Amino acid sequence: MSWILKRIITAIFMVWLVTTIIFFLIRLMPGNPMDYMLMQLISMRSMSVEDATKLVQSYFGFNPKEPLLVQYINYFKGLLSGNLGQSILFPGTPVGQLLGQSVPWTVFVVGISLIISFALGIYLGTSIAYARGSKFDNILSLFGSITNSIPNYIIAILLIYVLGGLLHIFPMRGAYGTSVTPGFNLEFILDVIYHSILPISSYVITSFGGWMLSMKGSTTSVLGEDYIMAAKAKGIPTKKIKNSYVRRNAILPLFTNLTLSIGFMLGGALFIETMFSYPGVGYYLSTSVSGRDYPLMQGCFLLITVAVILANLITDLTYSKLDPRIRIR
Amino acid sequence: MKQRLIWFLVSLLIFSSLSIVGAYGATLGTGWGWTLPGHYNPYVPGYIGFGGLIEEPLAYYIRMTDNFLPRLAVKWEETPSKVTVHLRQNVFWHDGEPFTSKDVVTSFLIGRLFGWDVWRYLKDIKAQDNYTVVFLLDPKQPNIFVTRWILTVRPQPDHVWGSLLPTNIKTLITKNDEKQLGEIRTKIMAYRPEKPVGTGPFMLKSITTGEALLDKFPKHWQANQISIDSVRVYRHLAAEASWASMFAGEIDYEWPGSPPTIQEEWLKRSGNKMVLPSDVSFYGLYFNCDRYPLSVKEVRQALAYAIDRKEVTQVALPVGTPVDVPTGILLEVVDKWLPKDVQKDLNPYSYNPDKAESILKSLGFKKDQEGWTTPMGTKFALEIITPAGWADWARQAENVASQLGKIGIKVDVRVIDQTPFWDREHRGDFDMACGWFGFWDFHPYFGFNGFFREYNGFLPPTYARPTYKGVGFGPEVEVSGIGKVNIPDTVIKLQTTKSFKDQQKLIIALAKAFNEYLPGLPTLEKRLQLFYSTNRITGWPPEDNPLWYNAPGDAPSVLALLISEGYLKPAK
Repeated sequence: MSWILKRIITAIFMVWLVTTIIFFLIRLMPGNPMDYMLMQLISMRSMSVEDATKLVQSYFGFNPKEPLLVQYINYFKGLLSGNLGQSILFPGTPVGQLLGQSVPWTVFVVGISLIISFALGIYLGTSIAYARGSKFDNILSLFGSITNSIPNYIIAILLIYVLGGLLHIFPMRGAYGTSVTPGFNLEFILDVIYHSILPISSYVITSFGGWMLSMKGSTTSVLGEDYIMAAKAKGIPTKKIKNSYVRRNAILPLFTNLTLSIGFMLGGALFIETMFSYPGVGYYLSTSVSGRDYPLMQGCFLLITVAVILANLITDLTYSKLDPRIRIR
Repeated sequence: MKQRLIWFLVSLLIFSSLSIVGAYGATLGTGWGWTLPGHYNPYVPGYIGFGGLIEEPLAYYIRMTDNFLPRLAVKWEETPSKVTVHLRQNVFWHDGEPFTSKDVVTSFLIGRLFGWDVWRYLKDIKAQDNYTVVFLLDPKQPNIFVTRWILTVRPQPDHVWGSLLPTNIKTLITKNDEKQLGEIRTKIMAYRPEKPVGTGPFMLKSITTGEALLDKFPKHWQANQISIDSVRVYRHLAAEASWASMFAGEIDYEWPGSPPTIQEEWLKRSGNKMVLPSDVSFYGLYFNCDRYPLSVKEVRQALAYAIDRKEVTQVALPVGTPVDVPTGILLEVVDKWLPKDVQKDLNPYSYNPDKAESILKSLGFKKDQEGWTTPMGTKFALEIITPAGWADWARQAENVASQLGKIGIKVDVRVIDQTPFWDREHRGDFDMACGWFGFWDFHPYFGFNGFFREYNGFLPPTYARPTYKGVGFGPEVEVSGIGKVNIPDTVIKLQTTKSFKDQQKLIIALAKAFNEYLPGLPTLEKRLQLFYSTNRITGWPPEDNPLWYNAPGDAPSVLALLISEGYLKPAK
């Protein structure tokens, strides 16, 4: 119990530490949105410095010239009360609201993609490990290596053009069409599923190969273990050995990667979201970085940080359940 | 069980695909990007605008012909003290309310709170009657463009926005009661109309993160000559997404920056066309006149001789037009403003690397195997900064670096994130920087004001910032054949000079100063690539139609004009 408590406290400390580092790090980036907008207002609209500063303050909701420490204290005060601040690029919109709108879309598309690519990778990885050296292995391994090394936006463009543009099988962009009414109704849900097929496919095609090749390597090493030999000698059916002995043991090293991927999932799939005009977190992350929207950037990074640390914590806490050989000391 | 699951998934897929059947109708397709989540408050960043398709100005300024195309205003009179605008009658907002002078007054008053440029030259605004608005000009701030700035405003409805302004708003503005004005501003910024309410030819029917559907506004004052029933706007955030959409046949009009291979592929297909109007801007290089050795006029001239602008154009933007003589004036209007005898005295800085080397040697620069050494004994090495994400500018910078490298001048190209790039350009923290010239208007005032004042640290003194020096050129220079010219003062004088002859004198002085001192080197005049298809929509005008020249910065409004003026019709 004390070990669990210690891990939880460490995780909370890590969240604070990373958030603090990010807070100061992003302010070290060259250029800031306030000065830029100030300059634009002064030069393009010929406003006086005083008028422009007032307007910038109205837009941003805080004084851009405030000392860094004061900004940090205010930020943390807000954070503790669940307030992530106001976006700079989208004045009047709380960061929490922007993330609240985008996280479900990202979790939906990237989450499903991750599950599919992981499941497919595991299944095929085991199969090709069993068929090492066969044509099936060679073709799938080559295919997996190639698709895994192609950037996902290239596959996205191909899918958009061929399946969306030429064949008109799937919609080319957006999370849903203009013909449906957003809400909890069947037509909307089906349309959302329909619109998600190409983004999910782009992600799956470019990521299942990685899982598959890792699983192949892991399975191959498990296949050489004495207990597999013993199981075979005992006459246990091959299917049972494959599923219960080999796959379950080979999957363990991939489990950590999976939980980390689940954590990073909340960072969105930037290029896929851009290509498909999908309203996920990746869009806001990229927009906030290029526009130096500090509060939004902090919000996105905080989300990723918490998710990754939480995923790590869950891995630590559950690993012993998956692998009984490991016991919490 | 497994089979059942597979059948379930397949039927789900088929059923969901059926749900969108019929979503693609025979409408005009176009595309551009807008920010999410977006809103319909035009006074706050993040506003989703559809150009002239939804909101109309009082009049369009047609850049190419230097005249106006009346919209919500039918006529106007200008005197030294006021501009009187007569509004069109029987115009309706999309929610059915009539358009009146109240809408114009409210829009301008809100604009005053948000620092609209035009208010620098206005004293007051009054509704004389329901369809007449009087703009009182500030005699201390005369400006020859004030009428244009008044007429190109797109009014917002008073019945939507008016309630956010207190009845004593004018008194608060006169008193400059910043506390109360700030509160009103905050209230306006927080307001989020459910839909955009305009008077334009189309109204927003529905919008998603991927597309918007606009339907024809049946009560539009030009409705009888509008033949397009709806416009579908696809949200394209990347050129690659636009190309996929174009080649898939969704697009009737779009303008993504495209390499020659895409243009060729587009034109190969039946019915597809492209026009290349000027972007009404140049781009090229800014030289830091405050940093040795670029502070030496002859060094800048030597660099100009060493750069082949035709090659730069070929590499950076083949559809662009190389600048033959650097003057700071857009190529289309050089003959209008610079008489032939003035033009023949200008130096074209034709490509001549030998001359570049001889100029440097005459200045005391020494060349060896390592490169050039300045007379001060330092290495002559330069850096070009260019913003990330602008591929043609990056190609320009790389090509210039390569050309200068050929004569032994070492040039590094540094690609910088957008925000710090513009910051450094304004602050003058560069040797050479890629930059704009021309500034999207054919009148040379805008090009000179942008380059000689905005990017050169010469905003009016009360507005100046201590760290702001830009290119660092001037303020006073001795121009051959003219004498002393105060650069920022001449630009300011230009904006208050009415007669063509007097304007021409000032423009000649500025052009000659630019040509002789070369604080910057425009390399090419940018051209927009407007792709259109005649397969579904016909009636697109030829390339020399002045309306195309309104596309820079506002391509959707050209579409609105072509539709509402009756050019575009569905193909039979």
